[in-house]
Amino acid sequence: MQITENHLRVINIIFGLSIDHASRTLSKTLKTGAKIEMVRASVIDISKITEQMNENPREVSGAFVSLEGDVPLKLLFLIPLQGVFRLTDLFMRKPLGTTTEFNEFTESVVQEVGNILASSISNVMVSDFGVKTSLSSPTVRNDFAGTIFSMFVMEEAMITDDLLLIETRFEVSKTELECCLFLLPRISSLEATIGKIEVCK
Amino acid sequence: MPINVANSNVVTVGVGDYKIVRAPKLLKTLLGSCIGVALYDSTTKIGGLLHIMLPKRENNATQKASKYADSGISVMIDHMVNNAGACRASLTAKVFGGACMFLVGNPLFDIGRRNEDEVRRVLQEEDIRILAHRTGGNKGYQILFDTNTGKITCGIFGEAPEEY
Repeated sequence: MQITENHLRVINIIFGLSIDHASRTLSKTLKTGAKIEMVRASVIDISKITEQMNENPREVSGAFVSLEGDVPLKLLFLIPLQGVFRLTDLFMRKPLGTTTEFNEFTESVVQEVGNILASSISNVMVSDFGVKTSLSSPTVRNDFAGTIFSMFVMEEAMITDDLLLIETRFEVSKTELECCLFLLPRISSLEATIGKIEVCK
Repeated sequence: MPINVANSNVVTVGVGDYKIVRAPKLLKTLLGSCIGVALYDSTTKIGGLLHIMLPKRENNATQKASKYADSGISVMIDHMVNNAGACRASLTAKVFGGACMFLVGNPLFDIGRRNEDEVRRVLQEEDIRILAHRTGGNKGYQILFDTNTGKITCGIFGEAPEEY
């Protein structure tokens, strides 16, 4: 399918609203400012984007969630391994520096943040655009950022050389947490997705 | 443990792509279920690194031949020999990656294993000897290929890097 400027404009509106909602929900949960800004929605060659991800061998924790239904897409939340401790402290209302090792709590926190972000995005789709979605349970992996990102795009890359990728900038106030949130709508379903949303408008 | 390299001579390879360089340049990539095939000609110090995503280029395959083991290896060999000036008879291989990243019970869905099997078959068909390999497991790989020596430093997530 050929992605046009109009497609990208609609995607920017839909996901801009969704990400804004996710940002507010996460801020409430963490009781601190969590600012997620959409950087761009673009069609990008899989080799180019993975080359960028492979430049820096960061070790991260990643939460994967799939949305199925009228707007099929995948979500990936990435956080540096050291940042997981701070995120866990924020989440558990403990002083920063309390959590110092990986355990079931740290994994659950990453999983929960993935779930909160995906649910917020899904809620906007349902309430503002009237589409149907369902969420998978979040899956968490610790690994190199490039490896996790490759897992994220693998299914889409089997059927196309280009990805429709939504990139965000993600900051949590009073911390140095540098997280990433990626959304990957299924290109083959995009025409139907936009059709559904435009019908609902 | 990541291999940190601050070196402008390092060229990074993305998924389904390949890069060919000559010493003193280095090649690096990160792998999961994908396979990294490093080909090296020690006489000219030309090296190529191919990042294979899937074993076979089926009928409904995408345009990029370098994504697939059965088409990508021959494309890179051709480029190394006919464009970069490597000696075909001197080429040797090192193979990394092919982890089982997706927790599935059916071996048919173990893409890493299927990628490795196909890479070995193609390299045998091309009569290229595999000098070293590190494959399998369920963690990501980081590899750094030094075309000056032909050595590859391989770091698996959570483990100390080793040289091959």
